[in-house]
Amino acid sequence: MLLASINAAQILDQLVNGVTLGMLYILVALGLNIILGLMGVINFSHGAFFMIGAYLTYTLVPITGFWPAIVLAAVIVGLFGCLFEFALVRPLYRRLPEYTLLMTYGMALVFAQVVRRIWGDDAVRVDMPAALQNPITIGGYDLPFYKDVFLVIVTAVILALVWLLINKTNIGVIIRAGTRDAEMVKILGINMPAMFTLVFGIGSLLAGLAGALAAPIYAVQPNLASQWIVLTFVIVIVGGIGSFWGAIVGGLLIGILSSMMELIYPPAVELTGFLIMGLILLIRPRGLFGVEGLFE
Amino acid sequence: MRRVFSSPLLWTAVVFVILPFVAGANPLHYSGGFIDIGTTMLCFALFASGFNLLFGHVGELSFGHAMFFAIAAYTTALYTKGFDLNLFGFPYHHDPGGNMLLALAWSLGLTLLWGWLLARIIVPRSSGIYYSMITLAFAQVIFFITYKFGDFTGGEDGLQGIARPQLPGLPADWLQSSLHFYIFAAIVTFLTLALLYWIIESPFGSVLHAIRENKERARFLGYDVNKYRVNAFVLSTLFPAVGGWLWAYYQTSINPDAGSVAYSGDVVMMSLLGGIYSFFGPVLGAIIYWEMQNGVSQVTKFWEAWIGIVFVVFVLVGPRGIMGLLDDLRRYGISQFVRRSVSKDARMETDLAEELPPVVH
Amino acid sequence: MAVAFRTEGLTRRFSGFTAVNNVSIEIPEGGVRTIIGPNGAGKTTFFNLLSGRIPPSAGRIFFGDRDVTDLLPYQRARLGMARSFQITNIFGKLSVEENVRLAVQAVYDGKANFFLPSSRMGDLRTKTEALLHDIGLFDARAALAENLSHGDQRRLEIGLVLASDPKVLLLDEPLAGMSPTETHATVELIKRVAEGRTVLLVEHDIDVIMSISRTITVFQTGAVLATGTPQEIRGNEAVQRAYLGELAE
Repeated sequence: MLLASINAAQILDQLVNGVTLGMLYILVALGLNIILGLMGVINFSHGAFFMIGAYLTYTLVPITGFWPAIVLAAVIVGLFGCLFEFALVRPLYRRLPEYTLLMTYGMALVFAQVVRRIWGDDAVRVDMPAALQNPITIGGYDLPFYKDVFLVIVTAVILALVWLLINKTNIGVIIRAGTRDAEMVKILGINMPAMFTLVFGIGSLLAGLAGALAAPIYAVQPNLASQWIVLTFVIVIVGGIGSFWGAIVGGLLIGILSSMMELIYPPAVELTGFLIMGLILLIRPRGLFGVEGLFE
Repeated sequence: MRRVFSSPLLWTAVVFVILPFVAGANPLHYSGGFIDIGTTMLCFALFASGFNLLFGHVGELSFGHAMFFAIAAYTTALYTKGFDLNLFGFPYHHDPGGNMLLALAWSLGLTLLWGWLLARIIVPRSSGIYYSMITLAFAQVIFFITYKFGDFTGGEDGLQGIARPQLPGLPADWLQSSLHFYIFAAIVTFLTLALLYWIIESPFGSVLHAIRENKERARFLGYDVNKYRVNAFVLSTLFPAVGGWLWAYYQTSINPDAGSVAYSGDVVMMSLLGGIYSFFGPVLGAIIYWEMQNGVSQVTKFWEAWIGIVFVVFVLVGPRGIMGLLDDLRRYGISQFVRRSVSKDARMETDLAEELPPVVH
Repeated sequence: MAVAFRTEGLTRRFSGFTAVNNVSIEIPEGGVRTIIGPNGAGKTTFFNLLSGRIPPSAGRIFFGDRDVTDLLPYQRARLGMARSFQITNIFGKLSVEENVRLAVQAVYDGKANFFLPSSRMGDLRTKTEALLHDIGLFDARAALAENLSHGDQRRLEIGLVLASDPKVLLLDEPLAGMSPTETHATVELIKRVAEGRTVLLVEHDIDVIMSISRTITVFQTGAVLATGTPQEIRGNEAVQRAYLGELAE
């Protein structure tokens, strides 16, 4: 056991690490949760969208510069998500949701290979702009700026925007009403299928955005999708299906605790999320912020 | 007893006998090449059939069934090779073991234990896609254990050099031959599938079907639905376990792939391909899947994409799979079959005119 | 007289709306009791509470002299309570025979083990066939349940309820959507079934209600407005006011 040799600096390091990781987890999980909670479908290709966002960033940065690349990558993934929903997800609405899970799983396989075909098997690097490369000093500690500060701030801003969108805009109201009573909303003249496409697009955009932001600090390779998707599921389970705050708390919790596990028993780092999930299932199966009976 | 030998099992037996002659590429060359695929198909036929007990017969998608395959495979490997374990300071040594039945017992035991534990945790608390997500997540736990605890499980490379067992009354190296191993595997698989057939056709199986069709009504009829779901889950782990046990001896090496998401997804595909509502479906699906994979992977290194596309097609087209198609052909004849596929009206007409029981054989 | 059901302060609320409001009634054994009331009066919710489909917000439910408030549907079913549904709730992709057989098999489920011994199988088959004859679906037994006509499906629905030979039947609008012939046949079936049992019925067809019921309970906005024989209810002013024109016949 390494407990004896841990000092405060290490703990702080891992804490910051955990928060950063957590923020990315939140973005990805939020996208999935929006789709899952509002439409009741799971997109197993969500991880692939994350990955495509990262790869697009890699390709676009030399062309457009860093910031436009990130925005563009996210938007492209969002639009692609809309197309994906229209072409493949929509036909399955009448069927059990398991079939959407399976179809998106199959497509995830396809996407992974397409990525390999276009960008090759080896990992690619995305360089962050020089301006963000220098570490920043806060309270006597040196923190890598991009990873630990910038990312956290940007994610927080995005989360605030999403919250505003869902809770304070007309579109948000329509979406939330539509998921509770699709018939009624249709009677009111609102195009529910278009709403669903929009929601799917928003969720996918968040995944793509997360991938784009993650690109400079992660190895971008074809396994990225499968690495992230299961973890995203775990966060959703822990936080509660469809819950905005669930994604936030779940993501942070798992991000921080996983990082902490690095200090306690490194081989179990990946298992941390699952352990938390197991506990949640025993104590509160609906998740921390989940709605009762949604899928029980 | 007579029922046991009615069509689906007969089909299965016949197919198993023919398989070594047709599996793989060239039917003119009778070499190790095909039977290798044949044995793989058998292991996965078991694996997929166990999975499909839940998916096709209860209506629940367990998206992590590979964990049971892996537990059995690793247990067999560790039992056969021997191991040293250091659990929180307590050392434990196991000598290499040659008794394959003991290996099977251990494999089944551990698989059942894990399956029972999970069933108790997961089943009463979830259903639908939530259930699928959770089973997937737990499977990843097993996957990570096989991957990370390298001292014990061999890590990424896994365990090699698993000695094939000796069958009583036969020379010690009889099972070394691919053909012989196939024969052994075919018999084991057939007997195990016969057990599955018995389960599906029993009153227990009927209740599972009722649960699949209308869970609530089953409850109101007086069935303790959750108890059936738990029992079905536990039973469903037996078959991948036997498959995993065979797999370890057949491959003589195993690695974390055995418990991967890919394998879990593969058996879903096999079941959909063959037809989830039929007994023979998953078996057929396993055979076709490996044929496809074998063929396509020789043509392109992106074969997984093609597998993915086939998967998506079968998801969109429907769960009755090839067995369902064959059944439609049998019922409606070729001309009607083509009419139905092309015209939705034709389908409605025939559905109203024919009132035949569904294909659950 | 023995009691089929007794409720004490039974209440059920749905976010802000009280569907069943503090209902305390006693339903004696025997005969047909029909529950009527305008839409939204709480009849189906009351049924759902009695059968265990939803838990109450407050109050207790007694089946005979046993407190079943905390029991799950399958446990209540095993005590001799059977319930049919307003929207046909059968096993669509299974054959008619399988539907009935499953219902009959459920009786053995609590006591039997995993697989039924063959002696029980014969018993099962006999009972299934008898029931199929009873509900007039013997000839259609091989058909897929979802392919039956609406009326036949409703009769299958009743068949499922009868299979366990229950002491008390809760039938939720069994005649819904039936043609006059079908209605007549089903009413005869219900009358036959009610002998020696208690039938709790929710229905809207006035003629049927008047002819078949021993007692009628009128629900309104989640509470019992009146209980009495068909004659008493017909003459009840409060009920007339509540329905204004519905009981004009």
